[in-house]
Amino acid sequence: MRREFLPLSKKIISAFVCLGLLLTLLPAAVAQARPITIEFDGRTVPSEVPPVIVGTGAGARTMVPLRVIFETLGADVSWEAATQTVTGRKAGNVISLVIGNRSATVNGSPRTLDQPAQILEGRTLVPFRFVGEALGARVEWDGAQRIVRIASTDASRRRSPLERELRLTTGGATFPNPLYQRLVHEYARITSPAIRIDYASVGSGAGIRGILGGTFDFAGTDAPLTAEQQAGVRPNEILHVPAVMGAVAVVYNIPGAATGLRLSPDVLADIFLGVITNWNDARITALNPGVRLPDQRITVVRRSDSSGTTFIFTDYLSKISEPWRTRVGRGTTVSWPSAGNIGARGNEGVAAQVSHLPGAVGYVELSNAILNRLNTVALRNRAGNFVGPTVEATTAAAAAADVGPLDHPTNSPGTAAYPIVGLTWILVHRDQADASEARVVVDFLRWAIVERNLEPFAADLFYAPLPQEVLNRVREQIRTINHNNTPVWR
Amino acid sequence: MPDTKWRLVKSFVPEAVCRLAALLVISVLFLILYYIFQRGAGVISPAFLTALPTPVGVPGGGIGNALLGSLVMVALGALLAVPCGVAAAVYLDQNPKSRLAAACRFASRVLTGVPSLIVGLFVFTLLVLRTGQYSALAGGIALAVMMMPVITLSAEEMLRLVPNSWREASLALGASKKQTVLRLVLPAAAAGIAVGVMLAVALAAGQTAPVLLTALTSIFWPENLLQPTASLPVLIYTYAISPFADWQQQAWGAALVLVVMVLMLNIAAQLFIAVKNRRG
Repeated sequence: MRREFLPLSKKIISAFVCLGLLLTLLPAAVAQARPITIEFDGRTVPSEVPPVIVGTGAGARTMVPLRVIFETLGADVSWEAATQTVTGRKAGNVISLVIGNRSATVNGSPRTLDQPAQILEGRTLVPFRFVGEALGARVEWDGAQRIVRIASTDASRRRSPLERELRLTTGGATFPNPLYQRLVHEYARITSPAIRIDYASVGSGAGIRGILGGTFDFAGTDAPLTAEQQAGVRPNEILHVPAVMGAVAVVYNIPGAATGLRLSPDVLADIFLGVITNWNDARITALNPGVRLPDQRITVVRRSDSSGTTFIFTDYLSKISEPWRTRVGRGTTVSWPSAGNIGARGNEGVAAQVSHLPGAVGYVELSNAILNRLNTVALRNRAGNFVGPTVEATTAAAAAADVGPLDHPTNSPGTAAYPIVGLTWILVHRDQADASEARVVVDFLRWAIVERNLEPFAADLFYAPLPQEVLNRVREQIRTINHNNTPVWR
Repeated sequence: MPDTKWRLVKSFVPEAVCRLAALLVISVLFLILYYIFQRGAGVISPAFLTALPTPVGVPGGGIGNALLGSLVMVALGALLAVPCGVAAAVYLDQNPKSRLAAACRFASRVLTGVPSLIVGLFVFTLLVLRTGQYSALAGGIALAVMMMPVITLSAEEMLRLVPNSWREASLALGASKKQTVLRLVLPAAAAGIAVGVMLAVALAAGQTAPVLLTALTSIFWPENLLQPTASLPVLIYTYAISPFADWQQQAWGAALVLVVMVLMLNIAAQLFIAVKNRRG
């Protein structure tokens, strides 16, 4: 009677075990000659191309990719193409190297190199020891293990707001998550290892509940607190610190792959209102001379879940279309008026629907449009120019925006502005309860936003940095953060 | 003789249909395995299994902390749920007709049907909001709540399969009730109970919502049970919905690891039972 507990034959069991074993053995991708690896404070630094040894005998020098060493040491690097000069700056140290030239300068005084900076297989390589030491780090070459070691001297850890251990738990908006992950990762590298910040991508709504409920030390959100949510807290006690901006792209799928579609605000609104229902409508063709538009029904694809992207998109439509403002309005969810519209979950859901459904039109956050290779619409902005969604056009929108600090800078009057752009905010308590936490929160925000340390990563992830005017406001905002009425940032 | 032929057809067709259905069930598992393997095997390496996650654009990211976090929370859940569930099942088996037993059975059935999100919200409200702290402990408790009814119900079924004549024989030989339960009924049902436990563990290992709401996630190694802790399902969820190819790749890799982990557990349980049966 116990036989019933043996549903799988031994053969199948052993097949599964083999599968499991195979899986664990799979990574045994053998490296023949071991490449040189770089270690920074005991951690291996990933490098797309391994360091190489150039020259022979006493003149032999280890050369490392320029980007890797400068990023590892947290230095700012600039490149002047005309003179072939690389300049690195860090904590008051300035070094400059010329490609193919043995003379270099450190803080203005000339030095001679054994091996010059050079370009190998399309990568710029710089002498490792020279750069490391000039920027205030200790360097070591382990010939037996083929490891290049860099140890940060005190100067290379740029800051440590606190000596003891501290963990911040934060979270919220999904939209800026890839950027925030990069920021907390980089911040962990330059600050004391005892300070740890986690950001969880749980959505704006959960972020707001988190900071109001005390489970998050700060929160990310794409929508400001509603009057209802504000009612529970003292006025101005929760600051909305603008962090970064993003564009919402209007994406479409027209069979015959018409690219470069142009739309005016009123036509866009009428498409989403369900007034214009076919791609060969006279009002669309009038805006697109020379583009062959097929006789194809338009299907609106919109978000089915509550979304900051929907809020920004409907905020724009409400500004440019009176019928939209009165009939639909703006919100994280709205009731969509067009007949036969399709709901999809998340940016990824809308992107998938639009790419598979002929005749579809939808809206997604910019990175989803570009990485999924969707066609995007160039929209006529307030200045009358047709502008497509790009990082530059997004910053241009905020620079010229004429809106309040808690509004998305949609429908900006700037000539180069893309009209559907949104801010994402970090919500933080103005009156901090814990002195140590306050110091870390302020230091992080200051480092990331005010000192513009997010900028090197923003464009690669399709975010637009804040324009200077907004940054000035952010600085003042962060200065109001206090503990027992003492400002934290002094 | 057309009659015989017709009978043969009548017997063959339903059998073929049932056989096909059985094959379908197996092929679904293999298709899922094949698909995940194809998409995810490329990123699996010792470094991937042991490294901390990295943001988009920084190569070398792994799932080490999520793997450890998942193991810790599932183990914690099992540690809480198994003794409790089995003890409850023993009570149900010993007092099958009492009112408490009926209520317990009813509650367990309702609990197995409660969406995991609700379980997560329950523990979130009870623990996380009160203490203001997401933690692996809260995650383990949420998983224990998910596992307990599954273990209780399946263990009761297994205990009930132990024939009454055995129990009577044991009692007739002078064994006490305690001895009968501990030395006869439980060992006889052990293999079946283990299957139920494995089922519950597999169920818990794949949960996203209860873990996200209670343990949140983290990019650091878990150091104690009172910190936000990463887990595989949450990592897969976050990575899979991002538009970036390297995170999506890692999501497939993490999914493969999760599936293989669950599969290994099931295989281990089957082997354990096979060995036990051969001895017994």
